[in-house]
Amino acid sequence: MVLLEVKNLSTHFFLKESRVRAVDDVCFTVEKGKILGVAGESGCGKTTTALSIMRMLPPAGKIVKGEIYLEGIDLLKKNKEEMRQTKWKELSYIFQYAMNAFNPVMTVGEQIAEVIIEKQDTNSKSGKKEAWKKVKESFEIVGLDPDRSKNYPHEFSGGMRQRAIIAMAMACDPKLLIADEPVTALDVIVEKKILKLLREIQTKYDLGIMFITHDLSVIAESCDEVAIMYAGKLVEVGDASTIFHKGAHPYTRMLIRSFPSILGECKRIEPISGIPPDLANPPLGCRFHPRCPIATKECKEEIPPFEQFSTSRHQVACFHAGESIA
Amino acid sequence: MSSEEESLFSIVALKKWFSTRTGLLDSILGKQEYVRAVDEISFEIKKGEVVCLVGESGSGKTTAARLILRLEDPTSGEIIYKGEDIAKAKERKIRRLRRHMQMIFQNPYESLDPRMTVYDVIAEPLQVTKLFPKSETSQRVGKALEDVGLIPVSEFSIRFPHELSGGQRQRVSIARALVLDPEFIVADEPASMLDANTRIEILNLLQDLQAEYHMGILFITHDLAQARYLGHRIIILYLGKIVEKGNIDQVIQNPHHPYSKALISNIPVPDPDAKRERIDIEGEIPTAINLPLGCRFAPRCPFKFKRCTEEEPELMLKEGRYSACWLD
Repeated sequence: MVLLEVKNLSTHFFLKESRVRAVDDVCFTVEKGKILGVAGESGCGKTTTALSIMRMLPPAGKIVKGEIYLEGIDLLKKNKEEMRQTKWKELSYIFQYAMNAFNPVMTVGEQIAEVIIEKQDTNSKSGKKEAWKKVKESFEIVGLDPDRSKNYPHEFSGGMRQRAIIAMAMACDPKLLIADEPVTALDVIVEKKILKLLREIQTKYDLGIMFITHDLSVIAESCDEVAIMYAGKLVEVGDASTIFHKGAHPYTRMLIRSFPSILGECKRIEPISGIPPDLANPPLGCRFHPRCPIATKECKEEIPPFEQFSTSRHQVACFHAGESIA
Repeated sequence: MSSEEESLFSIVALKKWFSTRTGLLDSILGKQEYVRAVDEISFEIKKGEVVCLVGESGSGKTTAARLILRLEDPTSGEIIYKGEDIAKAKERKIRRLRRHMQMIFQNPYESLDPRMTVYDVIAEPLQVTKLFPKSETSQRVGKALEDVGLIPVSEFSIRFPHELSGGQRQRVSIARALVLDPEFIVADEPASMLDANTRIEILNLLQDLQAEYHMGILFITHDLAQARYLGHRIIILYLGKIVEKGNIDQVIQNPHHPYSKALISNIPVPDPDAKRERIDIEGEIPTAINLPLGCRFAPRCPFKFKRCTEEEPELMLKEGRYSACWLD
């Protein structure tokens, strides 16, 4: 079942002298009970997409086009107050580096309770009690000892802080969780534990998760479906196995290839030549064409449509989808 | 690389304990505690060899490297550089030796002076050390820039760090390290902050330069995939101790120590269908202050038995690699 549907989303940043097309005509869905991994290099529009869904863009950023449906309701039609009500209760967001953003002079529990009280709309004593009950529950959900909610952030290790952030995001029982680089600064073993935790809560609460990361190995480890972005465009979406083994877009395949692995043969990897384009002035046609080894005249002139490829859930934006890149 | 290669560094029982003294009273009462950041580690780095120092944060990787470059004074142990112990050598001597050793840091956004042009950044070590005649400066800077692929040289020379991408900045850091023709480079997570594609570019560059100039590299990383890509030998650290060391492919394909096993089995791989055996371990790496009796990894080890909590295991040679475990 579709939980979140993003349709033709374009988010541009209006700067003094230029307009940066950070996200351009992006369509994807997040299913209930599934984890969608969104991957791409820095600056490809992953975080801007997430911030657009949360309606938390910085002042220069404007959604110029598109619709964002959460369970059939267009989030972009909501006013500020309605959106405030939706956030955390319906969809919550784990910021990049959030685990380092705890207020050091408040206990972790207080900070989570604050969120719950804010969303309860009652400021009574019973509300506070109720909130603390929820704090303890959410600590249990993420595998932290509820008594530790009285501790300060510095008394937590990195892994525990990340768990607490997930507890905060889960405190108001959201349906959709957007997690932006939730494991990036963590050590391998802790990282694996946090990924396992996300999977556990996703299964238990039939949650939809949009998981943003630049690390395809982490995506392979944890996601059901994968969306690959390049220069503000979605280039390919499909289930994890399809993307990693039968990826059809040249960028997808070259990106996957550029991750060294501890398995298999250790061969020299040839990087993709060139650099991503300036989004204030993106190239005509396919945005990947200047770096693409199989680009033709068509690719330079026309924007390839985002179309179904092999299966119904597999979509690609490439005129030469599936062709050998040697 | 042959096994008869000349030894560059021989590290013997190197130790660094940091004092955690809090106040006068504590020191009078003898309540002295130490963080045992590096605790008697021994290994060798040969000419033309990439040795990877791998471990989680807090395992002592960076401290070990800083000791070898003598940016930190060791508590005890020997650092034998080309046959001579430099562990206690005077600062003057170290300064002279350090010309042959360079370091590349993790964050290229922080390690370059924002007010210096690329040319000045790279020329600075030449001016400070006066290792080569002044007349060669511009030619040497140009060569270093060419070596790291910042071409055309004239164009990149006049740029400031903020005008460069992360990958280009890291290339500048590498050029600065190369300009003195070092024999040895410490690369501390040089590619970890970069995007996948740029990361591969930087790793390839290091690989090429290492082969061309036959340098020894101590490659510090938490990422075993990067270590395998670049390295010849691996040293796995846990709480300041070496738990396993040996040929990198051997260790990654068939680790002996339970910690190495856990670390390797939890590394994500870019293949959702890979079937792998997982070893789960409890908790997180503690601080190296109040260490348990016996093996440091025992409190988290799924295979521990009585002896592990009583006696500390030594590194033992088995099947071509060293590991410190009573089970092995």
